[in-house]
Amino acid sequence: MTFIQLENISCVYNGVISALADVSLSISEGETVALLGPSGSGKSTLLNLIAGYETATSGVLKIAGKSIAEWNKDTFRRELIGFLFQQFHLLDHLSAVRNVELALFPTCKDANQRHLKSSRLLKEVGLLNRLNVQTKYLSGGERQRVAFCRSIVNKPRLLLADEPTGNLDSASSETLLKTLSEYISSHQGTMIVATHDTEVAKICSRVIYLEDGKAVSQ
Amino acid sequence: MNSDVKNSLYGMGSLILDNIRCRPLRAFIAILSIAVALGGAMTMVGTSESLESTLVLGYESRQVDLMVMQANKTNPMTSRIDTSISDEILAIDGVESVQALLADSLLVDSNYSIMVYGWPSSYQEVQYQRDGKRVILNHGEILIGHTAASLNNLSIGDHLELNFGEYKIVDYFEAGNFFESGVLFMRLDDLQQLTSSVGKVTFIFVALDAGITDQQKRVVTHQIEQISPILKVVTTDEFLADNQLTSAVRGLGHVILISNILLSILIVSTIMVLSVSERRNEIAIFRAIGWSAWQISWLVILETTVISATAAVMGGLIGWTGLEISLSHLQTLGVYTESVVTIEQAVWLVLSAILIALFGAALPIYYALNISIHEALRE
Amino acid sequence: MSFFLKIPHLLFFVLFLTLIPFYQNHASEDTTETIQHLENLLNRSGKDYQVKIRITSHTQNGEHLVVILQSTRDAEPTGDRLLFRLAGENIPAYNSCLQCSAGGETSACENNSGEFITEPGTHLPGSILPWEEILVGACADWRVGPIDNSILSEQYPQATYSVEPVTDNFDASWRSTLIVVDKITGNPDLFLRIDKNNHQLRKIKVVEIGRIGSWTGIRSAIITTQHGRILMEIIGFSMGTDSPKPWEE
Repeated sequence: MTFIQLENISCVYNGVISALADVSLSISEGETVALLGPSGSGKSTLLNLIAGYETATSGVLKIAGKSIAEWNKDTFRRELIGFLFQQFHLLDHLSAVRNVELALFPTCKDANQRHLKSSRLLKEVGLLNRLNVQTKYLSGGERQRVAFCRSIVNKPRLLLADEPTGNLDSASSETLLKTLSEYISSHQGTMIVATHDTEVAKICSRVIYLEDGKAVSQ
Repeated sequence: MNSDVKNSLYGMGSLILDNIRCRPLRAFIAILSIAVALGGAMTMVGTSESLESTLVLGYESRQVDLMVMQANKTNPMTSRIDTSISDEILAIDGVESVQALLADSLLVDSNYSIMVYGWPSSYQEVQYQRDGKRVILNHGEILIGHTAASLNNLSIGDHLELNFGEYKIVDYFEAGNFFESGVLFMRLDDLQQLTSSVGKVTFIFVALDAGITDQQKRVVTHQIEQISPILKVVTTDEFLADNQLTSAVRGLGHVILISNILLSILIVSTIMVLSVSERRNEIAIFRAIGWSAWQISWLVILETTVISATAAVMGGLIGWTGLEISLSHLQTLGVYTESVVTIEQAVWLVLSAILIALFGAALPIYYALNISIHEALRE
Repeated sequence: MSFFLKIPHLLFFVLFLTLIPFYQNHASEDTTETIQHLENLLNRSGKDYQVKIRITSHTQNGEHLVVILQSTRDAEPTGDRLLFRLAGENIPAYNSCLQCSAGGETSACENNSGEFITEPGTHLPGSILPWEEILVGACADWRVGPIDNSILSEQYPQATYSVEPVTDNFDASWRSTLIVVDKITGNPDLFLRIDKNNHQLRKIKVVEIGRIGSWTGIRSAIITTQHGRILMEIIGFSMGTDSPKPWEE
């Protein structure tokens, strides 16, 4: 069953810079897809479009059978997708557990529940002893695992990851990949990962190559 | 309140305090500026209320229930009614006593004007008690209020030329309120002669029998107004509400209050726009993880509320301290007032804080909601 | 800086701009403005009004006299009709009526004998105020200008302007009136009546300038003459002459 449908999607900045050109592809629910390609090939733009952070210049983008424009953006971001950023985008002055709790603010009223859920997730990724440490004092790998927990704490149907290992050393990358693999195998969710890293691509069931804003092979 | 809003309120407090803690100097300056603005305005309003309340006390101590004056006068001091009306009022059932007063502004030493009250010499107001003796004014003698003496550098024994007439200050007058502290007192017949107002007075103060009901008060009022169509009867409260000086001070206080609230809104707005600008990335993250526009708005509103509420508390302290200083300064001028701290002032402070928080949040909210997620996260 | 960031600064700037005029000195070095200001103070509105003036005299002999002059001005296209009523403690009540023509000439009203003499050289009953001061004040329109007489300028260096009736129909005992202006406020401090021999006939010291009905004018002044001092105070004023709005008593 098609979960994500892109038809002739183009994205042009300032009327001249073409980030994506006439991209059409479909992704089924439960698929794990790696978007491979050099810098500037349009991987991040494609993820941003799917996450609703950007709007396509032309074309049709449907997610779960509805055009992205039809989705309530807040509901869409809070319940349907989780996003893992290359730069983590954590609030450095807050503790690890508070960062994860932030994603639960819109969906969970009970502060204890928020704390419990967040702590449990962080424990699962091996950060039990780092729960109350401000994230600015954590290593890159630890921070990315906190960011990962934040992206999945609402159990999204779609996990989007933009160069998740891009800022990590090899050991941290390995730990994160292990975490991602475990997540994929334990949940039947859909995942799209934009990466340079072929090791990341290996954990995915499908690879799409992008070059100059076009999908050159799938 | 929808569930989104409820959710937002849970746990946001610590997030806001974290943010304020991260920028303590800016938050402190913002809070202090608003506190000073609100405090200053509260001092003005408080001073005017204290002056008014002192006036009321002054009239109450004289047992004045009603004031009779000439109708259709914009400036009550230009009222002129026949002294003989006093006797007609005294004959009305329920009236215990009457006192007539002539007020006029006279030129002192061809230089400046001063308000002069003329009281019939038989009245206790002039036969006032001082050091156990009663003073009855002779022709050509005047009493001076402390404020008038202090402001014009006058003292007992000085001679004054009032509208070309020669007068001697024989003593200070213990004024019942601050207005009278700024005036001169002379015999009614002297003032009537001096101003070509023989047989005329400005006001007749009426004291009613103790325990008179409001209904009976209205009947007395009606009967007084029946004496002559040119008469107007007001209560002391109504008179003070129309008083030009207290109205001016009150009006000034309210203008300052409103302009300071506007200023505070601008301060909060500026501080919060700067804060939101610095936290573009943070707000973009909130939006990216699904926070709604309402939740972002509440985040800003709660922060402005924390700032303005803290400022209101500080402003209250500054305002009341300012009020004490202002009143003690007035007392050095001989204006005796009592400090009045009312629930109304506290309500005003709370309302001001709410206004500042809400209006101060509007622009930052607009700005925050227009942040582009992908652009902010790319920075 | 983003546009949104600039908005509060812009608001502060606008606020600042709106406040600037309040800090500007009200007085002006500009002669035209001062002349205009003086003319506005001296020339009353063309509308009907009633005014009550208290005239307190202090004679050279130490005599103290007070009278109240009430005047009703009924403006008509052909000229103004002025009704006077004079009352005081030691004088009987007087009534009189004058007609000021558009050209500034004065005459007794028809059917009015005039209960007090309104010749320029006489005093107002119950006072030492020369009647002509009331007459020109009530009938004339005034024109202010720089002093064009060099002798007067030298003799009265403190004076900077002179004021004359617009029409020459007033048979006043003075030839010129010089004005000493407060340099800071631009308001008149003194008026000096100068006779044909360039001697000071009398001096008018302005005591108070303030609102008189809907315009700003001189509310009180002290006139010093050879007979003594006279304090003139406006103690009552109302617009219109329609009954039943009689004297403010």
